[in-house]
Amino acid sequence: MRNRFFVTLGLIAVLLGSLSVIGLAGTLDDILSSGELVICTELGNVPWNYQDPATGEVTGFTTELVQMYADSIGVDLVVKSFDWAGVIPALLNNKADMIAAPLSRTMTRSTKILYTEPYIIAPGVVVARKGEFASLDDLNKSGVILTTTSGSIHEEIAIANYPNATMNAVPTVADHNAALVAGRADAVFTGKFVGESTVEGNANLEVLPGFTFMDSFACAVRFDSFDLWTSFNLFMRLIKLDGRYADLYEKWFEVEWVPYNIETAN
Amino acid sequence: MDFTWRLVVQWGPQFLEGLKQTVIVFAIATVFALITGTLVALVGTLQSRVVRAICRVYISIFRNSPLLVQLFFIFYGLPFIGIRFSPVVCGVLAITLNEGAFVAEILRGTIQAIPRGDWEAGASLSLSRFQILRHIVLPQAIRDAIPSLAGQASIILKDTSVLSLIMITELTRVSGLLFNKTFDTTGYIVVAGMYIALFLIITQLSQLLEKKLRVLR
Repeated sequence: MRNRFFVTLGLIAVLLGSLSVIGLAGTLDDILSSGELVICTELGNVPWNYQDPATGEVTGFTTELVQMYADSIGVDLVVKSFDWAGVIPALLNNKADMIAAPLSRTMTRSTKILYTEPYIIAPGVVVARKGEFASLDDLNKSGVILTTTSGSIHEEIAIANYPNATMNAVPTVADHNAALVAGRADAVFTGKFVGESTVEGNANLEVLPGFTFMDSFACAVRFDSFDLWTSFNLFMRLIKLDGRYADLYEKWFEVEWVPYNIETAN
Repeated sequence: MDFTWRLVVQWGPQFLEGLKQTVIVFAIATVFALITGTLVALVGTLQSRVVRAICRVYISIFRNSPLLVQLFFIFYGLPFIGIRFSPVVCGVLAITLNEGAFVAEILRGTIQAIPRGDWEAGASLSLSRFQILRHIVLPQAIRDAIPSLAGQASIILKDTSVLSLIMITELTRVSGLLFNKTFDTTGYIVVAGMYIALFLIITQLSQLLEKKLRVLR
């Protein structure tokens, strides 16, 4: 009688334990129970995600945005850094819950990841050594070496729109800046804010006039993280409505955020 | 893990171009590494302490620092002092200097393993030190070093994948490009197969060479 009681108790315990394992929990539940939201990104993208050289702290517009979200759901933020080309694979291989990076939205990527609401408009620019090129059109010539981060949308844009030049992409932002300064490349295709930050740090460089394309950045999750996607999108709507997004924008870009449409990034 | 035949066919020309680039860099770097290593090993047997010290410094620096650091120094660092080689030359130079140090150590070991009697026999025939090395010691040392040198050749083949970081479109870079465009792992599988095929060729050639040069005792 007693044995039958303990066996029954054991079976109930196993059943209850297996229920929690059988996928009744979504990504958001896992995040809440672990107390950590793990994001993947490429550090070194100023002003989006980078390590403050003075404090060693990981910071940036995107990092702070996601930190606000983590705080709003009561979890800690864990940042994992990868080379740009490894960011999406890291998400797909469950090394992170979300990509929080200056991630452009492309249809190819949309077949593998679920984009959240975009969080900012950011045009593409070209950085070159001062005085070498007068305009973007000057880049489309044979013998001109272009570079950018491997796997980025800038690589696609450069190859499509500047077919006469040669594109030699490199793994990271630091690599393409080194390539430009060392004369390994004649021009770097990058985002507006990253480009301006690069030029700020090097007086021999300049941003060429004009934009290569208009881009908007969004975070992204896996297709099976619909709960996280819904929650983050709601967060984006709420912070745009209550002024927190405007404060963050003004803090990082020192201009007032003027929304064209409260529902989108512009 | 995906494997899509359509992509293998579509990207076939790029795979072949990457293979051609890999094989060219591998062949040139292997030849130069063998020449460099042999010269350093020979020079290291000279009586001059200064010359031997220079050889030891070269071997120490290039064996004890990562190939990637050496490669980035040559590719990104040298242009700041006005020395700018093309990416392929940078890659060949870095691998040559790095692997040449390992080849020199392998040959130093096999030269030292040659019995003292061979040296004395050569001296008794009034051969100069250089002639003893050239006609007696070095042929035996190289023959004995073939398995280790074949191993170094395999390492050189793997080293070529690092060149994808300095704007050279070899096999590894092609597989990365395919993945970045399609998020499909087909490229990695195809390229892994190609590397394995190249390794098998190197192994077979090494065994043929060993058989040809084997001395029956």
